[in-house]
Amino acid sequence: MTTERLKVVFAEALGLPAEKITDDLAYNSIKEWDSTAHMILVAALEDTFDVMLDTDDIIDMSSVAKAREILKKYDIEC
Amino acid sequence: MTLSADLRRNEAFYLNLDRFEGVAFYSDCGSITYAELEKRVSVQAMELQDACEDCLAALCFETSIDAVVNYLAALRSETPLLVIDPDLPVAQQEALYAKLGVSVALAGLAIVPVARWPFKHKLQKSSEKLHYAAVLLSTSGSSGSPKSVMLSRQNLLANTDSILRYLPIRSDDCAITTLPLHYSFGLSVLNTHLAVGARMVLTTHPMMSREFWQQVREHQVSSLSGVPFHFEMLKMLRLERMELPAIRYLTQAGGRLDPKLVSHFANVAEQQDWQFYVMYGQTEATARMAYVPHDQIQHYPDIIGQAIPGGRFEIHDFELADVNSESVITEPLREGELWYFGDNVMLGYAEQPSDWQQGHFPRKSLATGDIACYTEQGMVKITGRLSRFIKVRGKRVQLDHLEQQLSALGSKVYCCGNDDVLFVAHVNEEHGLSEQISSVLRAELLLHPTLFNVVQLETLPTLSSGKVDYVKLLAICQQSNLAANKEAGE
Repeated sequence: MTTERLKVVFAEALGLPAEKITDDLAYNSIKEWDSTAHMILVAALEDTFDVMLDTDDIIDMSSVAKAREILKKYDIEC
Repeated sequence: MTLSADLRRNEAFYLNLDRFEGVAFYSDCGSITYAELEKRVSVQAMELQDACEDCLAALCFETSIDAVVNYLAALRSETPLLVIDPDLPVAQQEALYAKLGVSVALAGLAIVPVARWPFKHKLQKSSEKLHYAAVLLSTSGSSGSPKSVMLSRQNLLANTDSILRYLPIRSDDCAITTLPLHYSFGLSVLNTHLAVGARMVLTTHPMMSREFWQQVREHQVSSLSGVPFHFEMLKMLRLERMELPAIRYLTQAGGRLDPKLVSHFANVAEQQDWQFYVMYGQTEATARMAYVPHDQIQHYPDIIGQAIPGGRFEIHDFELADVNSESVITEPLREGELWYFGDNVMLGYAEQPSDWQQGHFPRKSLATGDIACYTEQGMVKITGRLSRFIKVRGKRVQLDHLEQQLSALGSKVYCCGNDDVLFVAHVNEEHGLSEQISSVLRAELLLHPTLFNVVQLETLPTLSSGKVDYVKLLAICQQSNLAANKEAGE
């Protein structure tokens, strides 16, 4: 269930269809995931999963898989 | 600053680089000292002189040591240089080459002819009194018809000197490329640091990445510069909590920063014992025109401050047809158009080869297109804009040009906005036009969907003259935006 939610958050923040959101999708590797989208993504993840990410989390969030890993730290399985 | 440092500074920033010691640049793949830089620049300057004597060269200004060497070599050999955004699509690059008469392109250290030899368009120096184009910079990103601003060596040197007179840049400083070097603000950071023999990190990593902050710590970066967008990122990253002992000051330019964010960073700066400079400029003025003295920023977060050393402002009543001594406004709070005077005002725009081929009398005055007034304290405050352009994420969007571009989709559209968001309005009821407009903005202007809004209206607000009432249009669009956001929030 959460997997779906994570996909939806990424798809909306990056302005991409959900099927394009795969684990190995990486920050700065496609034009849709630029710094603007990254900021929107971070804000959206914080809202959706009700967490407050710290600086290290934000600068480490370099791929979808990494985002999943970081959210795990906050006991969010997705 | 000591006397000897002052003397060394009086030399142009692109000459005799080996008068400085130590590292000049760190890049993602190594570093270069001032002595090595001098060698490379002098060799490349000779190559340039041989290969394209007095012709226009083009440089895709990437964030790399090679690109910096090319830039300095062009200035030194007096080769006029068209500076290009490396992300500009090749077709647009080639169109610009043809329009402006580019003869060679600089790629890595290669000098590649792009016009047929013998080259046709050459600089024609005729008089000592005239100034000649040294660098052609683009005013806008990808919003179509970028204007090419012609800057002379005198412009670059004057602005560099002014900036060094108000920013606390020292020879032991280290800056980092948060801004692209083809952008006038980014270029001014490069020029000022070269002028005092300071170091600079040429990084390709974005501010939101771990690598960027590793480089900041490793090279003890002493200042961070950014457009409003960078300060939104710094807020999200909670800059105040980072361990950054080498930072001494922050600078912001490239569009209006929300006064709330100005206050936030003024407070952060005070807590950390940093200085925070809010600045104002345009490519037409080389880069910088005004700054807020750092000790005033906490009290006045919504001003652009005062003219830089060597520059001067006038505010002119825009109701009067002519700009002359009678139209000068001196009393506080009365609005007029902001004019700037100084040696950093461009030579003009280049539309065709003859514009850069001939010399120009320095014009020294610039109508900024901004509406401003003096505060009670005699500082300048921007209250609106006469010109039809906005800056989205620091990138200039020409509204009239965008209107033409989007109207080509088949139905007339109207553009307005502020520095936070672009609005495109239309009265077409046909299904799908809004989506079509959105996809063009996304694909061609690379605007994130949250940075623009396409609004479908029943009728268009007009003035008694029949022209579009853009002030009313903006109000309507903002209202519909608010309503949409509220709905989305519920």
